[in-house]
Amino acid sequence: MSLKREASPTETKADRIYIRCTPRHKEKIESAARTLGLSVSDYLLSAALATVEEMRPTETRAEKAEASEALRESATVSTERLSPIDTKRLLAQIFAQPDEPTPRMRQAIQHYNRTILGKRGGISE
Amino acid sequence: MSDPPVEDTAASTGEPTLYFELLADHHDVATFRCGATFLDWLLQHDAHLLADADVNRTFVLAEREAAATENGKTPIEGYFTLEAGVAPTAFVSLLPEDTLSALIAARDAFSTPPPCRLSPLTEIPVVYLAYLARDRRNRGRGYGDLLLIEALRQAELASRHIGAAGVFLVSTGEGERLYTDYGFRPYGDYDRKMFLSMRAIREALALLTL
Repeated sequence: MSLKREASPTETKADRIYIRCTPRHKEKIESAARTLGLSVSDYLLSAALATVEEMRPTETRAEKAEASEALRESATVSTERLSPIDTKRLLAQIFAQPDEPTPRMRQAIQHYNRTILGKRGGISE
Repeated sequence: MSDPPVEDTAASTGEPTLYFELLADHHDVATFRCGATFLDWLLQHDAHLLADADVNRTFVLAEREAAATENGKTPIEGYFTLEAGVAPTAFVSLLPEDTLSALIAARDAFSTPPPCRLSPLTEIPVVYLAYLARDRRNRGRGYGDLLLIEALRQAELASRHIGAAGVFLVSTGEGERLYTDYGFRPYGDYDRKMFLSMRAIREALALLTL
């Protein structure tokens, strides 16, 4: 699936929006856009449209198709979401058979067993 | 933001009797000092308020033999806060075109309001370990270990009822290595955001002698 979504064939991208930002913000935005294989313009537009969708208080039926598109785009390129690659990593962690508890984890469990679950301690339910 | 668990130490003789319970009025939040001002502040100003609003739950570690504080309350040895959370993902972007189109069409077939935002396709439910800290008086006593294990235990209990794919947290810089030692793995392109799957947590908690 392509991350880059084109404008509708009936629309042209004729209007322009200029924004000012700090060099640090610009670098961050450019880096995020590069990661997703998008131009800075497409990246900012997608993120802004996704925000519009999230802040929309109510939604008329006529607006739903557009909202769906914004939802889809927000799930794809919003800075608030993981990239597809990172999502794959997260899902792999979730669905993978877990590794054995690490030595540090075993040590912590033993300490808990001894200290909290011992005769004198207690746990909350 | 979670403080790193402290290094474990061998149990010494004469260990205090420790127990966990939900934060309550008899706990002295005012005298808690972990060394990170904002974690002290959160406990003193936010914890009760947010628990009353059912936004999150704060558990405290206390000692049975501890003398009352100058305020006549139970001293807090450490605390952690759990919240319901979501891991925002691009899962939806991984779906085949026709599947995604069908899902969006199904959503749009409903009259207002939409029943959902395609969750869990765009968001994976998790338990968020928001804060974890122990009083600086307890440095080197392994209380961080106890707090983390109890947090994982409470998260696992919650997951039995509502489902949660794991525990995630945002560690401090120094905490990143320690949480990695516990099996947490970084994920995403955010700084120090870490995750441990519920499967892995269950595997570890199976070692508890409940």
